[in-house]
Amino acid sequence: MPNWLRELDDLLRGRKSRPELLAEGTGHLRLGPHAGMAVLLGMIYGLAMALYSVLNRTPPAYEQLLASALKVPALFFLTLLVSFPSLYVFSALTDAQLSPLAALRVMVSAVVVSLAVLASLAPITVFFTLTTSSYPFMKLLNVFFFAAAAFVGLGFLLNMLRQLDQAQALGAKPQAPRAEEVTTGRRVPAGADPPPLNKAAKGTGRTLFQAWLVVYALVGAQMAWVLRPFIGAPKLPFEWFRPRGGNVFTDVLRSIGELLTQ
Amino acid sequence: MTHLLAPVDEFLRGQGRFAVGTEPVGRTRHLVAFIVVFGMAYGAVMASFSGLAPGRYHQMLYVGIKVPLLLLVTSLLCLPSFFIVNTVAGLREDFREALHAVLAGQACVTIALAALAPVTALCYISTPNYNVAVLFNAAMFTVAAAAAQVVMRRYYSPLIGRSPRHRGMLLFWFFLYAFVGIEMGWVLRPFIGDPNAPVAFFRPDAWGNAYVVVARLVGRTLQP
Repeated sequence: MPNWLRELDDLLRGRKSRPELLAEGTGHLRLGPHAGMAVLLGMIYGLAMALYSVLNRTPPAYEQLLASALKVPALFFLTLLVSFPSLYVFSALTDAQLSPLAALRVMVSAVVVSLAVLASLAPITVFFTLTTSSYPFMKLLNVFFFAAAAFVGLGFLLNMLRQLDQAQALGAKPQAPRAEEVTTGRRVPAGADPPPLNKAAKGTGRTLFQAWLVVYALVGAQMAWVLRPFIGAPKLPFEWFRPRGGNVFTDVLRSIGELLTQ
Repeated sequence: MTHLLAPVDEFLRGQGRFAVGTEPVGRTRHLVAFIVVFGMAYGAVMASFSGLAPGRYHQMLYVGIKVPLLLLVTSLLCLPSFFIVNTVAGLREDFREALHAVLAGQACVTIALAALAPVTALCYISTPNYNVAVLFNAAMFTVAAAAAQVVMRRYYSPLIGRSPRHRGMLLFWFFLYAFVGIEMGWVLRPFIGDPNAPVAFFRPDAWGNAYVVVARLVGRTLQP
């Protein structure tokens, strides 16, 4: 197995999110290789998406292949760029003790997971592209696949943050005996802390983080709209970007309507 | 004959090399062979509705090829995402077994279909109505799919015992497979064959999307 594939495999299998490993920091979530994998996986799916423009246009719009292969990874990284500052602020409020660099590493690994799921759906996208000429159907299918991939990625992220919590508890364990232990000679059971105040802060933090997830999803959806076209409406000429205006949510509703009335 | 059917008997009863928990040596090979052989058998009978007329016999061969193709290509398309989602869920160690379970489900569908083939033949003898033939086959596929649940559950229950997340994975496979399989079935038409239409491997107009057709029908129904 090539090295990068093994690394991807380890990440997907959760071998990189073990608390024992995370207790020593997030250095093993290497940014460079992960970003490279994300780009590669995103390009695979971008090509599958753009196939529609090749098959449904005369002459085929081969430029769309390049455009979408660049845009799918760009979508995820730009979404991260826009929502990262708020993630950092929210996570700092949660007392997660996550440095900005560590937060970035964790986020990029979640992006890799999302894009791996998306790339694994590429054969199905290609199959439907080969057999479908309906543009609204392809659009809705892709919206659904992106949402599913993001959902799995965020699940991975939540799990990773939970493991980080555990890792912190793990890291806190092998410490010098506490003052009260020394004075009373009685062992305080491990895990009896954290103090109640800390717990309450954690609860608020979780709510804040869930609020941030909503921000992330909305930014991602709108970023996809800004970067469109990915599939390429057969009636419109190829363009790298469409003019500003509109939003993704009304367009999804309109696509459902089109699918029903075409 | 009994020698040939022995693996099938073992498979249906979940004994011998198909017993749950045994090392699955050569199991994949057997399961794929079941899908091909029994799928072809039912396909041939399925196409006999229009294929028994002189000059149309090759319809039976075509459909015989198409039934295993439908199941195997659909599985192949769904496999990458099933693999990745299982991996992300932390269930990679069980993936071989999960894969055997879903393949075994499909093998059971084809065996049940082959066993129901005489019933389908009787239906064809009883009526020349094409729509009845279509509905009857839909019923046979439903019965076979229900029978396959026994096998799926047999192989999946130890997995679910190990991790309840396998239940979600099974559901994921079921929906993805149905979603792709419906479209694959649509693309691979005709299966029964309209006796008035010429014999063809693919219908010239079949290259389309089943869901778009359904959406159009729903849209027309909803319109005043």
